[in-house]
Amino acid sequence: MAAAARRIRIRRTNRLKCLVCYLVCFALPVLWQFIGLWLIYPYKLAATAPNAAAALARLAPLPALANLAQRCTAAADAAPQAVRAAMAAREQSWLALVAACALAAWLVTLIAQLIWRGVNHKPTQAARATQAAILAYRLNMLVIWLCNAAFAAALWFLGARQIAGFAQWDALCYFGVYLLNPLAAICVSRLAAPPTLSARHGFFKRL
Amino acid sequence: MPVLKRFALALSCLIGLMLLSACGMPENLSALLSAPKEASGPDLRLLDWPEVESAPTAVQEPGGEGVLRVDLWLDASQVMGGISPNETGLYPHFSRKYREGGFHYRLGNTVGMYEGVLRGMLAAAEGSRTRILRYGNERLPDDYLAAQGVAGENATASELRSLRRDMLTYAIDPMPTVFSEFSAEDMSGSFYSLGSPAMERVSRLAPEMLENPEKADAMAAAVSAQRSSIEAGGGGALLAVGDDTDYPLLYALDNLDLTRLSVIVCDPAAIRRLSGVSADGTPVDYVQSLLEERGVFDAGLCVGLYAFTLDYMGQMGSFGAADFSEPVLWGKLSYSTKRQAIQGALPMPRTLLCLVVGAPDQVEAYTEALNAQLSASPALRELRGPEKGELVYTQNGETVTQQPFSFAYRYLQIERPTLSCHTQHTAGAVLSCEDGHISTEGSLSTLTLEPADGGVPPDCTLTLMLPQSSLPGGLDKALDSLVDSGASVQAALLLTQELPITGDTPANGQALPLRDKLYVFTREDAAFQSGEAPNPFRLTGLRQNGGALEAEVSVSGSLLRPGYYRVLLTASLPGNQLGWENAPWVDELNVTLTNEQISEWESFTQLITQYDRDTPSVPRQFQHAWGAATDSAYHGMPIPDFPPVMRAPGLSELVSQLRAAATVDSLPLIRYVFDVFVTGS
Repeated sequence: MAAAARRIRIRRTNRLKCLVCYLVCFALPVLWQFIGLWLIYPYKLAATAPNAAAALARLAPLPALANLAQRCTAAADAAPQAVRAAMAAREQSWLALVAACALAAWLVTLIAQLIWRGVNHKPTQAARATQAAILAYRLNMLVIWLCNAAFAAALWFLGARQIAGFAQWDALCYFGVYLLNPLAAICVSRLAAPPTLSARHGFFKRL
Repeated sequence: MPVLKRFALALSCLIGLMLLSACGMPENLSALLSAPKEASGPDLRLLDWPEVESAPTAVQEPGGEGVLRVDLWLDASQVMGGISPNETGLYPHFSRKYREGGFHYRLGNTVGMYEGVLRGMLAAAEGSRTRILRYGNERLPDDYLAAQGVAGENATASELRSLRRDMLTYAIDPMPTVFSEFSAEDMSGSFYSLGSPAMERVSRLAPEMLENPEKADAMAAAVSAQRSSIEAGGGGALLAVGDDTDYPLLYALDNLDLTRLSVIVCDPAAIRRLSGVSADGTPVDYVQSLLEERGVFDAGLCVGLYAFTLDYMGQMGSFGAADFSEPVLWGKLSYSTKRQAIQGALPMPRTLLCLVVGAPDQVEAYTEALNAQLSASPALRELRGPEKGELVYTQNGETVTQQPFSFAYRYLQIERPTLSCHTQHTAGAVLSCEDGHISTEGSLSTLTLEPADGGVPPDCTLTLMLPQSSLPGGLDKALDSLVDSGASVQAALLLTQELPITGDTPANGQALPLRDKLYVFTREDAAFQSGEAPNPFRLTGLRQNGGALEAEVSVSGSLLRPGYYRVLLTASLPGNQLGWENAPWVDELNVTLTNEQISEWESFTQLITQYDRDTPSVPRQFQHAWGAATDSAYHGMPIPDFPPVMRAPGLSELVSQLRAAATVDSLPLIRYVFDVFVTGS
């Protein structure tokens, strides 16, 4: 059996389909976030960036964060130039935080999904392996959902909750990615699972 | 199951790591959770609101930077020099008994005290760039300057004045001995003669010393032509003899250089009419209107007025608006008919005026130096005048015997009444408000009002406390008569448009983006002053409180919109609230000439001309001051009182006009600017 498994040959088209599935599914959250920060924010959410640096500095009082928080804060009677500079720094730090959280969640999701894929590719005892893979998949997805939820919660507490008039555009721009990441993981898990687990009518569909 | 175990292990490790790395988090978590919510409106702090102008800089001193420049305007009218304007007359111009010279008479080594005063004036300006200008009854009209090619056709009034000053210049940075040239026993062709050679001094000055060096030759030629014309008897418009509205003092005032300290010596007898009535019946005060036209007091300058009591010996052809056919003799030589010798001079007292025009500091410094010079001058200490009743005259129908007299002077400074105006720059001025936050950047206070729950800023009352030190005495009474008091919005920067964000910037105003909108704020000057929208600011009280001045301004929150408001708090005292320095000597020296008196004197001197000009010797009663009082008539006409030439005709009116020119309708008491910033909701 082991020799037979070693001889399993995966079609090149299947590999390509899996790769495209990965690219499409995991590119969507990135694209979404890109559109959110570069198109939605300037035209729909302009000048709403909260002072995330100050929140970070309160959470972790590091000198670098304190300096950043200071740059992002303008006194009540500050001159317009000073306020403008503070607002620009605040916007940059907020968008960077949003992008960093989204990227981190995306990476965690991708890595977790790839780990699951790497662990569940042995072609031995296919039925039992599939059952175990399904269980691992469910656990993995739980972790992925939790991680994305954690990042979303962090983003909420670090700044999004301070945004006055928080509405659907804010939610789509800042939190859409945390929905898309697990969905992408689900898609690639179910559609581009290792060929040893997948079948046409199985839990893991073969493309 | 091994997979499940591995997952459980990994999850446990992850949770453990997270907990370990978040040991300090709970302390900060509450702070994080209590983070303030951002404002829902645009951040109006991003609006550019120009700073209020800085503290007013000191008025530029006349002369600007560098050395002080002094113009010494010397009256060269004939009455000043005691020169009879008549070529032929009852009294010879120069003889063993009769002399001319006026204030600047000379007999041997004896000269009038005036020269000592002039030396003092020059010494007081020591270290300055001093220019002596001769001004008298000769004129340089605009047309003449243009015809002589001195001035262009489009020359401005300022350029013409500058040219005239150059042409009137007698000396620049002279030595004190320059004044000795003015006096002589025989005054023919002297500094005080009409059409004197002294007029042509401009041709001897270095061109670079003049205001218009490039026109030095043309000016010299023009002055020479002017003098030739006067000598030929064709003065016409080049002379102002006998013109009641064109006399030397007005000529000097009209041509003053306001950037210099001007010292104007003026014989009050040469002042003819100080006021008149225009064709439409409007009273005209000549000196006042001239000073106002030149903007002397508007430029922050002041006028110091000296009245000197000096000795005089000469023949006065006029006194005020009175022109005598035969000159009045005032002062004479002590001549012994027995020994046929001149024994000395018997000068008589007369008043000479001097105006010092310049910046108050400079005038004060100059007059202080001049006073010191006058006090220290030995030439001004001796007694002069006739002794033993040698000279008498008639006053109020009685004979007055002149006694020896000494030099004296009085001084009065007239400057625009100023009140220390309270502005935002006043030290100790405090603006407070209980319902808003007040910040001060530089000298400007800004009240920040935040909308209450309903989105409308609260009504509030601002209190402005001004320090006592600069308040005039008795202000509590004056507060009842304040004018122009109120709180007005000088400018406002308010929300006028909301546009969708398209990437374009609006042409006008300042745009603040927020979400999908651009909030456009536009500046409006003199906002709320048209009356269309009610003014949110109102001055509700102005009172003295514990020695300080307290102003209350009510702010109606419901009338405010988000944005900036620049509010000007004003209050002024009427100009007549501040009195003038009392100077009793002005009334003591003053004399008012009536037309009846003038007519009487002129008629009387005409009789002298008619009956005595051809006589070989002067009747005794006219040898000096028309002699003693007598009831006898002169060819049927009662001999009138001798004109009061020892006093200053129109001095009170002159002072009144100077004060009137310096007076303003209202004096600013408060000009306090502050900003009100109403934040967005």
